[in-house]
Amino acid sequence: MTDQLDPYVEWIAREAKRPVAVDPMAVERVMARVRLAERPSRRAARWRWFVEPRSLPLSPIVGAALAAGLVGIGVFLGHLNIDRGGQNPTGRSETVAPRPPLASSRDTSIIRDTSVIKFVLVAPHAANVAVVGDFNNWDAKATPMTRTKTGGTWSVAIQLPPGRHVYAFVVNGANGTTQWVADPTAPLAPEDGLGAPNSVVLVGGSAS
Amino acid sequence: MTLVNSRGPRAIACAATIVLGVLHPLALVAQDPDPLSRLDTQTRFTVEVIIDSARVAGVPTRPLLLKALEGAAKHADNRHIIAAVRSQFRAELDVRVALGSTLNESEWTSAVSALQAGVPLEALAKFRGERTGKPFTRALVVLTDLIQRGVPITEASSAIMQLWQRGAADGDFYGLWKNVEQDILSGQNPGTALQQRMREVPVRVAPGTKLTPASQEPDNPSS
Repeated sequence: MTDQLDPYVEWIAREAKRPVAVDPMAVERVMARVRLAERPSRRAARWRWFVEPRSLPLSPIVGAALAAGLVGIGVFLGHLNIDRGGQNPTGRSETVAPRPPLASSRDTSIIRDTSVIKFVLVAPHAANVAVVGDFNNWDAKATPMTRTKTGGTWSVAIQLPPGRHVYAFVVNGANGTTQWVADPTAPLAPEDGLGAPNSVVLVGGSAS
Repeated sequence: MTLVNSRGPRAIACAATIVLGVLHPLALVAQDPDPLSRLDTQTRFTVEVIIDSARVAGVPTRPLLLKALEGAAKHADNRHIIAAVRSQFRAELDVRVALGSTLNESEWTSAVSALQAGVPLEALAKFRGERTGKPFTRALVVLTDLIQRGVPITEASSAIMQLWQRGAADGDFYGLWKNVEQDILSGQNPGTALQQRMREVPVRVAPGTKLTPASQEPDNPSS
């Protein structure tokens, strides 16, 4: 770089330093317009704070932690849904085969206001239990039940469309026996000659 | 709040994970593309013929399919599966005669169950005459259960029809069923249990409801 300035730059500097004549009323006019302008309400300003798009710089580690936390909340809520109402088993069975397992009374009933239905069966000596019915095309593998922490209670929550549903429990014993069991806390469906009784659950206010 | 562009996929992944976490307890119902493949060829053919007949007759076909699948799941022999499907089909035809064909699927199946439990066609037809616009599924489910538990058919039919005529709410049917079931489990005679519990059901008569003589005697349902 040389000490001598470019004549063009010197000209720009000279022009920039030259005083500009300003209208003495200009400031007054600007302020008058500002005073006339409608002042935004405080409420609107607050609302804009919430809805205005903005960028959130997020490091990968913070993003992962945030995602993990949200997933944790989701799983926690899900487990709350599973455990709700499953704390009051009304009976116990000694063995699977000679004595039918009992279901807790609150969890499968004739009237349902929600389409998420929780099926519960007390079968302490079962190796695994499934709920089978028209909602899963009578597929014994489609809806396995989960043993709760208390041990003898099996439950599953499934989403059902409104209407009348026929179902039964399939209880597999530790000794390899399989038993079809109707829900002792639900209305019975009539015998249909297929060898094991079924139960009925109505979903929805109108059961239609 | 919007994330910068490079984080868009991450946000979507997070949202998907959260949705999966919330839906975790809801077991999703799997749909078999060809459920009848569980039947052997001959049984499947017969069941399909019955289903086709039902389709032509204009009665529901899905309950027939489900009945066949129930038989397969319970390892019933082919003869029983076909008999059960055929019985279901015949009952559907009877229901159509008794109640008409403007029923939803739940009404169809509950009426079929009531017939199969032994409710006479004439008794079932009364529900059409008394139809108030609300589904009678619940009433028929309770009626079928009571018969299954040993309540005489005539008494059970009469009692449920009385409740229906009185405009009983869903809760009334449920309460009656629950109480009678408990009484029967306690060793009481099923018919007696129903008679006694019927006295506890509140009378709900909607304005303008025409009562038949039977419904004016709520204390003596079996007479």
